[in-house]
Amino acid sequence: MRARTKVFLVDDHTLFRAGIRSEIADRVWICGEAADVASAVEGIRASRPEVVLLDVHLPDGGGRAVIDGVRDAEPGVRFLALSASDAAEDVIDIIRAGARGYVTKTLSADELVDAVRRVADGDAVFSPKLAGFVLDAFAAIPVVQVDSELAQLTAREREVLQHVARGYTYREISERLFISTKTVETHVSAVLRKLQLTNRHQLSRWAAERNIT
Amino acid sequence: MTDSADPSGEPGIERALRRVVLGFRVVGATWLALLGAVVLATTESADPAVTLATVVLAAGWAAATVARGAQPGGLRSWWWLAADLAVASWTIAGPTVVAGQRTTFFGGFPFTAVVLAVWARGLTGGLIAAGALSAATLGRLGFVDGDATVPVSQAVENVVFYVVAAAVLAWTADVLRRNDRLRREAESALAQERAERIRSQERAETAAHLHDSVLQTLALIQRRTGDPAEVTVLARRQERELRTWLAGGAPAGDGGSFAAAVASAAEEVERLHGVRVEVVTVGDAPLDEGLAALVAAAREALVNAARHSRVDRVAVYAETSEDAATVFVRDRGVGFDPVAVDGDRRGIAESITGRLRRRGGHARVTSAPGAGTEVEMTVARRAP
Repeated sequence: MRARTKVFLVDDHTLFRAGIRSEIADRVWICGEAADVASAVEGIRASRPEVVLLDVHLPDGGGRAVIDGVRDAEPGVRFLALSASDAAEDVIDIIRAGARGYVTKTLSADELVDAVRRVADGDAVFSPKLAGFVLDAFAAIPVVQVDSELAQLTAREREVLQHVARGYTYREISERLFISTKTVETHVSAVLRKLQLTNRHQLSRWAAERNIT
Repeated sequence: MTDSADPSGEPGIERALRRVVLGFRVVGATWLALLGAVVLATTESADPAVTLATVVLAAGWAAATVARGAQPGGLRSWWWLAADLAVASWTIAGPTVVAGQRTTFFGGFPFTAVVLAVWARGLTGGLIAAGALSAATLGRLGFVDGDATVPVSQAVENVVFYVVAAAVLAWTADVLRRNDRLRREAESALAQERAERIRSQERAETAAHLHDSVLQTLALIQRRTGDPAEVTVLARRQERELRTWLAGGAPAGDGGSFAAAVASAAEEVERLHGVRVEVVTVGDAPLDEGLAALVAAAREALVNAARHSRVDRVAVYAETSEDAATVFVRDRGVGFDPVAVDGDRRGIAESITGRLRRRGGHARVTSAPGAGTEVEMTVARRAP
């Protein structure tokens, strides 16, 4: 039996925090919560959680501001973004800021606990929705513009992401593609890294085009 | 506030007044030059060198004033005012002091120094300028040869004029500035009121919408607490509706794009069959015949999953690329053996594959008892 994961909760909706707390407090250790950027940064630095459950949309700068405020002082803290909004640009932005995954608020308690544990273990948590956003983002970068392999997914990474988007778990994907679960995780982590390192300009073009169409 | 400030932050009224000041200066210098020419041509006692030098000095100083006045704060410093008054005083007294010249030709030039001082430093500046110019005017009399009666009366006239002009100009500028400030305050109050009105209108519309949708749904949910499945469907439907509204889009189901059509089909199945459908789309395209057939086939597959899988969740993944569009419909339900299907299910499979085949597409069903079902459907896209 593993020790309970130490979790900090950041969301500006009191009702939602209370709901999460009542659902998962028996399986993870909720060491603190905050409703805005300033108190979140302060609380996270003081309590040093393993995982921060971070709302994408917060007053005064959003979840991104929390990551920016904590990252240098506490590099060991991992972030799992969650949101009721499905705005792709916001989600991609917070992943690029350093979040290790993204889940929607409609996720069940069991799935949320599982996602928290995986992030604590250093894995990336890709919900089907996030996988869709990422595929969309990389598909929009024109091949002619690609100056490094960072801006493109390999065929295998694409295949893995497609399966995630289709609703398969890592274990199911490993069975279907005849690779180990560890390899699936490696591919997903590689995608995450590429997303964070890809030229900002190319992705902003993508975001702008999404807003137009 | 929109029309009254340029990027440097100078209010519009100050810009206008500055232009007036510079205009006066140019007119004053021209006036002086013309009088200087007349003096040179008609007065024998005039010293040509000093007269010419004074004209050049006044013209040059006017040019410098215009050049420096191009930037908003350039003319407002005390040292510039001091230099300005020195030049103006020279045009009054210089030719007399240096060459004993009796006839003056400064014309309107010194008055423009009063105008500039009032604009730059208000009544104080204006009175200082009037004082300096009066000193030059009166001091000059000590250097006039012969009968000084006429020059004295002229000088007193000029002194009174400078002082009165300073006071009147300061008062005028003050009135102009105050009116401008009042006008801008009124405009900003008006804009604020308009913004407030728009906000309250939006609030009323939002309240109306929430009342018609969210509050109704919440009321329904309270009355059906005994039926969790029904409550979930209501909540999901309301969530979708609210999202669409928040995104500012038209309600789903108006056709148009492939992704919207898939989302709308998913919502319909969700509503009719009480299952939860998670939709992920990558890429999008305008709906053509092939894509419409694909959406219809996907809808069949969703209904299938809802009726036979015995789970309450179905995942849809729709991807559009340049040469094909693909939809995956997947459940984690009981599954079946594709080789030994009963007639009913074969029929539905036919309606999926048949529909796609007519559009040059195909479908593939992957399933096994206990392992869930996935239907993959593809149509090729014609180049637009």
